[in-house]
Amino acid sequence: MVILSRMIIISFYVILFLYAFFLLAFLIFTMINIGHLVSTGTFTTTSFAATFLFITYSVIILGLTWFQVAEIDWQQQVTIWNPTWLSGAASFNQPY
Amino acid sequence: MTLGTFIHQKSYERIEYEIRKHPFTLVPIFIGFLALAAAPFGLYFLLSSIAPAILDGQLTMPVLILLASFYYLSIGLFLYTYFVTFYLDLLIITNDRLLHIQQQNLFARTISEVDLNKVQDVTSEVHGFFPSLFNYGTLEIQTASATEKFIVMKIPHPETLRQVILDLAVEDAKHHHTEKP
Repeated sequence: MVILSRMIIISFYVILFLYAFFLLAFLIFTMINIGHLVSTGTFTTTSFAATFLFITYSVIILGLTWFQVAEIDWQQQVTIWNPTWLSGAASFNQPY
Repeated sequence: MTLGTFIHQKSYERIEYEIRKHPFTLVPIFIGFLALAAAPFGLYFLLSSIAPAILDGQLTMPVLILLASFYYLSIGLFLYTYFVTFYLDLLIITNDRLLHIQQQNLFARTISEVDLNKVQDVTSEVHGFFPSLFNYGTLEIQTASATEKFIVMKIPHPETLRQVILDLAVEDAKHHHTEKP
């Protein structure tokens, strides 16, 4: 088994990139759904109401997320791997 | 685009009914959505009592917020996609034919159609507590075409629709007879 001997440090904004990637997929699937409704001629009052509710719900979630994370310092560094975390594991190889 | 364009409506054809599954069939998925939406609150109270440091951590807190956002957007999108699939699943009855649009999921759709004069037999079935209470069930349409049987499940008022289809089939048969020289 290979154990990384170096520390791995990433910038915190990498998490934001992952979230942005998810938002892109979310947007694509939303557009596919709306596209289905429009292309099949089923964009009626009911489906419009459902779409409106979904968009309102999404905007509220995104707004709350923005409100919560706006003050966070995304430039800070995060250690995601440090070999010293496993330093206690060496004792497994010790003879009795 | 209109539904008529989508089904290539003929000049003499008029859409008599557009039938979707009974709205009650959406209730279980909506209850599931509410349960999923409530779950993170339970997790929050659990974490706040056993590991409050996680909720206040300078690094963990933003990650948890983004995870919660991801989660709530995902379940919202799932519910909306389920609704779209439900809404596109449709039985269309015109004065000339029956069209069954089956939307299995977002990327799978089957459309089958049969002329009303090919309809041989129509059976309706209401089975179970909730179907009896809300009057929805299955409609089986036996035809003389390549698609031998149309089975439309969970549609409202299946007995009424059965009679409607049989009446329209008789009307269509009359029309076809008068067309003969």
